[in-house]
Amino acid sequence: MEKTLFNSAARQYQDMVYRVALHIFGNRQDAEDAVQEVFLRLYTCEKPFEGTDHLRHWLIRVTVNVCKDALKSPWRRRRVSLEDLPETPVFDRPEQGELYREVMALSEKYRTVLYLFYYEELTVREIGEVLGLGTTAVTTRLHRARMKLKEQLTEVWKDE
Amino acid sequence: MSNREFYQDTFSQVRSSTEIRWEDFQSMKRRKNPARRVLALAAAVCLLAVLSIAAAATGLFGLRDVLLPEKGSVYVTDENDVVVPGEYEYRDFVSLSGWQDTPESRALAEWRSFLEDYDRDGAIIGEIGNSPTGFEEDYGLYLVYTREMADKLEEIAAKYGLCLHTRMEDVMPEAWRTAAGDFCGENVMAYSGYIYENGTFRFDGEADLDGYGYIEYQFSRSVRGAFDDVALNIGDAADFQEWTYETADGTSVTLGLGAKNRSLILADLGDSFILVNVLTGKAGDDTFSSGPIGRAELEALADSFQFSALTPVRQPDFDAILAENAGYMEAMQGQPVPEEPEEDDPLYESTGIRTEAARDFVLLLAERIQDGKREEVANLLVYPAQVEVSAGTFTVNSAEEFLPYYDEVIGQNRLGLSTAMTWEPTPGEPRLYRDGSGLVSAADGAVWLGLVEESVLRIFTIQTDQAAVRAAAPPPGGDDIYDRTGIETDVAKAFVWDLAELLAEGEREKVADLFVYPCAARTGDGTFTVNTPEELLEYYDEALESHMGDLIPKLDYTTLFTRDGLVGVGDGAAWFGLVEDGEMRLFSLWSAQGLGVGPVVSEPTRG
Repeated sequence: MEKTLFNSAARQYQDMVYRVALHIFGNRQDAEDAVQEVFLRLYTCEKPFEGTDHLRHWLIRVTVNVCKDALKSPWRRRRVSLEDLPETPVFDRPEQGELYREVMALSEKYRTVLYLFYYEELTVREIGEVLGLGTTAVTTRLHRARMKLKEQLTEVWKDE
Repeated sequence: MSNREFYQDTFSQVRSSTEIRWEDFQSMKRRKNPARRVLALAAAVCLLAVLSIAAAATGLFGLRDVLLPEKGSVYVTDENDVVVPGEYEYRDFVSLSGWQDTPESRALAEWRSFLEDYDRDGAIIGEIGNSPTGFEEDYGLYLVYTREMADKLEEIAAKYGLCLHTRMEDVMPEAWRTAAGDFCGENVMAYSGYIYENGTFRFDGEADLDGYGYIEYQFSRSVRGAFDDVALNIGDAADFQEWTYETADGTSVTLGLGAKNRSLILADLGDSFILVNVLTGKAGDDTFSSGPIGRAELEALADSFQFSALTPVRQPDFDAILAENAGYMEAMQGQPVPEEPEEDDPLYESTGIRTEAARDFVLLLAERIQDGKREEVANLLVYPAQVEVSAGTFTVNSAEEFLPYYDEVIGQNRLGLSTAMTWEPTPGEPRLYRDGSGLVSAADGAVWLGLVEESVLRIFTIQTDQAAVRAAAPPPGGDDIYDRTGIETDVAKAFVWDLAELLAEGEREKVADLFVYPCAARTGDGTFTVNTPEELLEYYDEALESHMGDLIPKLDYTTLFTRDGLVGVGDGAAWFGLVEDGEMRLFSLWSAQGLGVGPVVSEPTRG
């Protein structure tokens, strides 16, 4: 990939890649490793992108695949759990920290769907394509994830 | 702030700290993992060594004699059982039909080879969707959806001198003795399954072994002479330690104790072939059994069946089986769930529903959905329920009220739903989940069921990606429209939606049936009293049809209001309310030009 485009993509999407990976792994060190791996793939990618949206979807898909590969690998280093990490992100408001903790306490399959839906605003069908799931499965996971968040965040998570 | 904004505000503060620079990647090569290759090679060498030792010790390869010649591809899934897009693994598959040199297994291998290359990208089946293929009647028991597939199936069957299955019926737990004889020992339970016209059958079951605990299995009998398209993925054939064994009833069987969580029992009975897929092995967990097993437990399980009772094969008496099924289902539906919990049934402990009862209910539901038994399915739902369809969310209070939504919620996903409720290759085993809510889910969360007050099972939710029906609390007291008109808001919304659809689709007879009679049709030529729907149809074009473009957009169910006991919509474009028989009727329908149909005033009747 050409240097200017690459640096632009890194500036624009590095945090997105990190957040996707963080939702899949549930820990920041693995997520940072995934960022490196994903941008290495982008660096070696020779395909042209039809626009920023195309690039963004490609990066999400590759991030998911990179993370899944890593999770499957028996050589994967075992990371410490989130609770054991000395520092947690600092948020503007306490309820944001609460949301972060509750999301990270969910299982991976719920976290990933939540993120892609709420943050990246992918449709259920698009999420299904990225994760290799049927739309029913995505809807179900999303529904359950919302219910779990509602149970835990009674004050700040609204009924939908 | 919406949940989405809350989520975005929160996670926008989570950022990567890695420095990504073009220059850093310039000198990097793609990472390889030589250790992985070396380890994989070492593992392969070890397996070969183990296999050679096992072969030398036993002098047989019984399991290999049922292996299909080509490995089959399966989706790769991650730790969470999520399919990894575009990734496949190749596994050993065994025939359920007999040794690999039999006509049945050779035909199966040829059919699978054909399928492996046919419609690989799913373009054909994608286009067909759930629509009828025209091949259901003759080939409904096989994966056939094109003429080419049908011809190939016939060609293969003829080549190997096999007939095709023509009929399959479910067999409920109490009906197995009638269906196939007394072949299960007292410690063995057979769940629901299915049987073909020639006596081929499959079911899932559970056995209780002395000194060990419970063990789940899948039992298959394939009767010679018919083509059967089911194969079983066994992972790696090299993972099994094999030996021959003579069971308590004198049947010689081949046993394969798996290194992982699966083992096999094979028995050639001459006129049929038995394969029991045992859901644990030397490294099995407690998901489907009490834990790992060894040779003794596998032999004890084999002793639990009277294989000799299965030969000679008897043709199934379908009438007798269906009668047994009906009696069983009737008893199940009316029977309260027993109050005493069974041990080792986590589903019961968390939901009050026995696993067996939930399985049977799901199978019953799947069958009814697949057969299009709308009323029967609707009667299994809990009411009142919220229906979520493309038009919006509505409350239905009975099966009758739900039926108009049936096709959008269930009917159009009939095959997908019923298939998702079963677990191939043995459709007798629905996957059941629980989530702490007291309900049980099947079909990966598309269907939720639970106990109602009468201690019987009912459906709380059916959801697809297009629509859903969910049990709901009764409408809250603060329903102004209901208080003023006796019509619940959701019911009024549904009426408006239906009316707009009927008008748009030109269903003039149905529209005419909605009015209160007598009424007045106001056209450009004057106003005319009409006394019946038939009379109204004479004025329909002039009074209504020519103003549809103006009228239909006004029928927006979000604009409901009330006056004088009636519900109005769209600035009074339509008025409707309850009449004496309790039905909802249309009192008026006016275009912006003041033409349409409304209450009678003093006007002469035409003619």
